[in-house]
Amino acid sequence: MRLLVAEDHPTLARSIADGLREENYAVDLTFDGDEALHLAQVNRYDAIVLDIMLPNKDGWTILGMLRRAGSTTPVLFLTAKEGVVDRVKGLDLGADDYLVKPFVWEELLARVRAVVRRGHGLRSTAIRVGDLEIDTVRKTVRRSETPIELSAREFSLLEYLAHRQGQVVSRTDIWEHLYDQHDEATSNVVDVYIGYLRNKIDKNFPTKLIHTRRGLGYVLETEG
Amino acid sequence: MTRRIALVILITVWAMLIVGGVGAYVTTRAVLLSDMDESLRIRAMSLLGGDMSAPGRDERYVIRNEAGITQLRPTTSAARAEIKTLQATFSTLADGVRVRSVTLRVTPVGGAPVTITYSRDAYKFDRLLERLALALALLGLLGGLGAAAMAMRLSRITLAPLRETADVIGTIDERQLSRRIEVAKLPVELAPMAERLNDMLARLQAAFAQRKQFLGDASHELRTPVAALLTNLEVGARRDRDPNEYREILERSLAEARSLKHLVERLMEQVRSEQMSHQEKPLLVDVSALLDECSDIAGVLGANQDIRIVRSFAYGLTITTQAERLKNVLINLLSNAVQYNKPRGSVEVLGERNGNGLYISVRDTGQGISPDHLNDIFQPFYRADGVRNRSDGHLGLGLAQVKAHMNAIGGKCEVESRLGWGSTFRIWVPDDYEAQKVPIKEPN
Repeated sequence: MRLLVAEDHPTLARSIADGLREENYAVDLTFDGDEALHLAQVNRYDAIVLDIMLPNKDGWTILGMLRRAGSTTPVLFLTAKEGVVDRVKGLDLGADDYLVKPFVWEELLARVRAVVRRGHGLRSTAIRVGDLEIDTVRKTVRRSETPIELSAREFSLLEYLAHRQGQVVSRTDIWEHLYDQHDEATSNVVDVYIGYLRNKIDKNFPTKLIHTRRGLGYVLETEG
Repeated sequence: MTRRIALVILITVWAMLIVGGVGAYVTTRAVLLSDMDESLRIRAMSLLGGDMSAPGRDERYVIRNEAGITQLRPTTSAARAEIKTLQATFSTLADGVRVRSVTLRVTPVGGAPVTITYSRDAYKFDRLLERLALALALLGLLGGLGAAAMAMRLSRITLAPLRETADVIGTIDERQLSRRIEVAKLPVELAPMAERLNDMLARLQAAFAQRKQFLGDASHELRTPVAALLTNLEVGARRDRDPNEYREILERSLAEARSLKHLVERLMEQVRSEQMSHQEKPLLVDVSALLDECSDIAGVLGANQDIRIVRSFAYGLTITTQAERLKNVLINLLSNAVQYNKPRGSVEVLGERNGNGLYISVRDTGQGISPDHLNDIFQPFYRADGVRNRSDGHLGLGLAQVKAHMNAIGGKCEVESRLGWGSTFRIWVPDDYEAQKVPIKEPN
């Protein structure tokens, strides 16, 4: 999953970005409102963590402009204001959630997960594809009750495919959602990781879940 | 108070009614009695004079001679007789009837005196007086009660606005400071007091609003640095790391904690500068020397940007005021002038006496402030560039402090600015403000 974090306080911004990266999110970080809007328009994120008080453009304005342009990217507002009025204003403008600073880290993580989930139309923290079960909170994977060990990257890839299960996902999509703007990965790496994933998820099991659609991309679904 | 008024009126009216009633009764009785006695005398005399018309059923008489023997009829004429009233009394006869009797001794010329006692039933008289007494008593009682009731009602009506006012005052707490006493409803004598109370409420309301605003701003300002500290440490503690990473986390946390400390100190300064109770004693201040000193400090601050400090104030300027506050104001204005200046720009410091005070101006060649913001820059935490750049330690509190200090010493602060050209901050410092003020009693 790829996130945009826009927060003008340098230490807080870096802590949030570092913490999210340690949770295997690809994170683009900015301290400025104009840059945040630009990045949100140019890249596709699974969620945006948006501080309200940003220099040059505040969070309200950015959110308004994104929504008016038709963006459905989930947005989690961070704010130092605690009033109900601001909460209502934010939610009515199109924010998906709202966190008041200072917040507990675990709560930020949970809300980011929830907002990403909802952005993909999922309700539960557990995703099932056939007999494959993915627990997005504990970051565990089982197939037919057998636990499967995945690396961080592999899990992120599987999670992304699962969030979009049944839909064909192009290599570019995958690459854009797994790597942030500073990563030097090439699109080959996607094929490589799909290979690793197939090895662990599909190889020893009767039914295949990861399918290639030639020329289009990959899809995670039960056969048939 | 209503009850006391009512009681006093009740007792007074009753006393008056009792006195009046008793007087009326006694007078009436005396008049009626003398009337009756006179009529008895006339009847007695006419009897003696030969008029034997039968006395009324309720009248009787007895005529006696000198020896005390009853005579049926007088033998002498009563004309030109000497008449002396011996007595006039009430008495109860043997058959139980109460009568009024008048006894006369009539001594005819050249004749023997006779006494005649003429009596009439007192029944009617007694009944009449009884009724009179009752009527007066009843009148007195009712009159007294009526007067008292009316007094109570009148005083309640008059005091009702006071009670309403007391109720209104009773409901005023910090959430209801917008309520005011309706002066028009009160008796005119209470208007000045009510107006002063309303003024006081207005001042309290303003003070509370300012405090609430400040608390909101301060809490807002504190939240992000606290979040930075907290998130930094939480994320840091989530997994095992190598010592270098830990060191970096600790250093970032330390920097943030220091910045918080600085913020808290500035907030406390702001609170202190707003409080009227923070009073120093006004002193005679050598203003020129103070301006010199502050200009030196500004020079140091602006050294690495090559900012020139131009001293355009006269020497020998003095004023009596709170020295620390004035110094605080000057340092704030000068450091702003240096901070928001262009490289190789200048800051001009002017000062001159005017009437019973001083004008001091600080003019910079900085970026200037746009007209939309000119009113807002004195608000706590306001920063015209919208940036919360914590690294330079500026929190937007400097001008708010300047305003608070100038208020405390009875002065004023204004600003003129042109975008791209620079700004001029001008303060007016009155001489010996304290001496002109009405002293305010401090609560203990």
